[in-house]
Amino acid sequence: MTTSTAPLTLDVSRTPAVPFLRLVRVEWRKMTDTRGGFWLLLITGILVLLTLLGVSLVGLLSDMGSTEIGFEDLYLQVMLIPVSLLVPVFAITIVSSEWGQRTNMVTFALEPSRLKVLLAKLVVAVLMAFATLVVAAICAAIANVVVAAGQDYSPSWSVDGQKLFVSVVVQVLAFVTAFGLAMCIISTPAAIAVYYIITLILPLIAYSILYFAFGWFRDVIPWLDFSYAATPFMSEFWPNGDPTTVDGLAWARLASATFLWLVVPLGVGLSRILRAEIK
Amino acid sequence: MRGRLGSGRLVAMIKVENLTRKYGAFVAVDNVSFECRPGRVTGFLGPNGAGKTTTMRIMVGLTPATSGRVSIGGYDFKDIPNPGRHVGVLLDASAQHAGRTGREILTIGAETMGLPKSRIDEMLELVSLTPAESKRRLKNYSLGMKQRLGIAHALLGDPEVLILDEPANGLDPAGIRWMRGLLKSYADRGGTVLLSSHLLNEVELIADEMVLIGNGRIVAQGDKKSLLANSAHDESLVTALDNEALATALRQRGFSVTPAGEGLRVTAQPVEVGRTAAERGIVLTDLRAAEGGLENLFLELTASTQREAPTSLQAPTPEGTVA
Ligand SMILES: Nc1ncnc2c1ncn2[C@@H]1O[C@H](COP(=O)(O)OP(=O)(O)OP(=O)(O)O)[C@@H](O)[C@H]1O
Ligand SMILES: [Mg+2]
Repeated sequence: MTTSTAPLTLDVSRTPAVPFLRLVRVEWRKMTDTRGGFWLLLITGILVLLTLLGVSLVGLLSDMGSTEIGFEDLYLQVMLIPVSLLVPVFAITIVSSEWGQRTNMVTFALEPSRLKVLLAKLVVAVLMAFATLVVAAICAAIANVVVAAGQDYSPSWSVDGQKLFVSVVVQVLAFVTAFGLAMCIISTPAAIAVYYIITLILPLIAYSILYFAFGWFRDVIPWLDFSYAATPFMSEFWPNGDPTTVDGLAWARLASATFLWLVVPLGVGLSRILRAEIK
Repeated sequence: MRGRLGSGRLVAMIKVENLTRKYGAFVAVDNVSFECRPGRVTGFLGPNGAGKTTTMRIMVGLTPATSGRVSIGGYDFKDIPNPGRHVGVLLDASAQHAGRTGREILTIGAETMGLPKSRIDEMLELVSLTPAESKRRLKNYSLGMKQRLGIAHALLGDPEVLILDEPANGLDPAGIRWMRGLLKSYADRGGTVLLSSHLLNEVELIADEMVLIGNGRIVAQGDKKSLLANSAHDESLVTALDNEALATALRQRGFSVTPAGEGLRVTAQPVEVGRTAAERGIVLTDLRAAEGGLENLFLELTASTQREAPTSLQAPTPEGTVA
């Protein structure tokens, strides 16, 4: 074109890199500002309220006054269910909707470090997991107080630390697995389908039958499925009635299932997105 | 605006050097080099599939280059901290969440870049989107409104550089004029603009410089005048009192002559036509270089890459009849 001299240099001294926490805040906003996000939250809220109402009513009206129900059971056995059913979808859409709606071009033009953006999204997904745990705990506490007052006994607040810890890990892992699968699969409907097949449908339909039918399956599945791997930490018995023990084997299985559903999807998904063409 | 320039107008803000992108055996961008200077609007012109969008995606790091490099203000795009504050990008105005309102889309951008909320209203006003329109969801936007929102988004961070892919696409004539004014004043304040289009008229209206691309290769570049000067425009339109005599004289000298309106179209430069007329004492009433030089140039340069239109569209043959 013309005789060109040294290229002009941008003065970038007054524009520091986008702070990570700002990215986290923006990603949280993007997760909740759409209609899809709104409905997901609303339906989950309704589910939580219905569960709270149901368990409180049953507790109040039951004539089994002698068997007291405590916070631990209300939290682990009841209130964690409605907050685990639908909310992991957020961890999927926070990744996949950027591709579905093609906002990824804008996102990565404003922050070219894809790793930074994806980490911010992962932090948001994990924050969401913790938020569901807090909501479940609050609801369990309310139900505990209501039922104890109605049945006229003093509420029990004792919680087994190990069970609590594993329940937190299970919930966070569910979100991270959903996140990792979304990075690997990219398509929203496909990622949601795969996630529910792996975490809900297979365990409910296939695993439970196979578990009772075959000895080898009882040996194999705790290495592969996270809820079976977590069983020794959560319960005193395996589903078939055998007693559980927390030993080296139990930890090894937990590590194996964690690797399979945490490390592999995250690793594969990350390397895929970091190298992909964004269009 | 930062990066205002006084005299140094010959320095390049955007430098694209030997850029190549292959998809398998297909070369979408083939050894492309060009520069964009501050204070100028550079038009990136080429037919469909020429490689404009691919080049621009490479420039902002969305597509990896097979080889070659791009520097913007001396930086790789990915190394610019908070790049939205330096390089405004519009690659596809529809590539936004259909369920978000225009205002929400700008809010997300402003929040990412760390800009005050007031900037959103400024930008909405700049692109003439009313407060009511800004509260509509993107899926209810017209093409032109999406384009305006995209421009607003690109300008949010008050960048020194704009990279816009088909920004005039979907704008009405008034909108194109508005965009020309907007980009001209942006360039006059020292900004660097690269915009692409497959329509010569658009680019001709808006751009100071042009880069012509066809089949992934740069076929010509420069400002409009030098482009025309470089292409030997050896066609003239001429009208004489005696067209017949002039036509005969020109044919004798080996030029081809065809009637055109009142006068003749000749495959010769105006100076040759004038000389012939003077020698024969023929009175001319009009003599000029043939119009549409740039358009011809564009079609010529990119001829091998044009998509041929079907010569005629035939009605389907009724079934059962033998053609
Ligand atoms: N991922 C891909 N795989 C294969 N070919 C591709 C890919 N991406 C782009 N191309 C090809 O590269 C060429 C250039 O495409 P590009 O989108 O850059 O054209 P363009 O100049 O922007 O055209 P238009 O004016 O239609 O927007 C096209 O032939 C396109 O099919
Ligand atoms: Mg294009």
